[in-house]
Amino acid sequence: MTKFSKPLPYYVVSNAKGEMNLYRPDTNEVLSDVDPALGSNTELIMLFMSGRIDDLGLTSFGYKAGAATREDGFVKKTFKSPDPNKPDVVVVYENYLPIYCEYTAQDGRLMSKKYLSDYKTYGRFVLPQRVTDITYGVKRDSSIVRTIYSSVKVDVDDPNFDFQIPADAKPMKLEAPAQ
Amino acid sequence: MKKLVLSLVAVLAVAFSANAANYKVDNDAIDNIIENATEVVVLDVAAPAAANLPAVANAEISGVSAIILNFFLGWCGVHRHYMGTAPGMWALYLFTAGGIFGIVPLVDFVMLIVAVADKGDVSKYINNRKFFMWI
Repeated sequence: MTKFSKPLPYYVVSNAKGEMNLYRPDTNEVLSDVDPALGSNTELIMLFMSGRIDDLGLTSFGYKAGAATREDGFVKKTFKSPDPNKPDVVVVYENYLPIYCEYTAQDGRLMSKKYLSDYKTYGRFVLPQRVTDITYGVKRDSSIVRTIYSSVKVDVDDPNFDFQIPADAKPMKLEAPAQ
Repeated sequence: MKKLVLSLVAVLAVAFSANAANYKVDNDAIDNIIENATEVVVLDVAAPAAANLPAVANAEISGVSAIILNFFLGWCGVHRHYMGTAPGMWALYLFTAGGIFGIVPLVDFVMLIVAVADKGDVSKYINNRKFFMWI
């Protein structure tokens, strides 16, 4: 379960099979969907908790892992996209941990870089405390997104673990387009 | 909304180049860029779009605006809400770290550019409630 407090209160409840429920408590509405892409396995913390850091979940979406190569003490692995519209991904590891991902379009254009750093061990798993994304657009512009993970608690009791979507939640619906 | 978003784009546009041979980013430089940037509360900007999702009319949607929104705020799916999608799509983009470890917004970006460059018709992405809008 993932709880969002801003910009609106929302809960995402999902499982490994991709069964996902999106619940909005202020209106008591729920949106349900099933898609492997929405499964809990795609979530960053779950990827690290379940030890799926060798491919970051990419192979489950059809990516083919290439041979690993060594470069200046780093291990570099290329994941080829199954779809020409999806970027190829290069993942670089240091001490068996992914520290860098590079997303390249099929025409060779660099689209985005992701840096994972400040790894910290929590019991049986490690988690990067900091993820920096740099996305490249046109005319040499780029955007930077910095994500900081903090206050990670392990093996604690928390009422959020018992969260259940109310049985009387109504299905969310899209209104028809205004013409 | 459109004016507000374009102002945001201007504020967030920063020139930054990373050394392709370097697999580590200079965190201090990143912190410096972010700390010195003008603060805009992105999620508050996104809130009106993410709140109630009345489906939008095709004529109101600009493919170029969607591309710009995707470039700067694709990680939280704001471009999807601009074009009309399922309520809470932003939460799914955040949940999957920008859509399958950042891939989904990149594919959205490519598909929008292709659609705009072709005939400028992004209608198939409007009011599209699927997580993968291009499928």
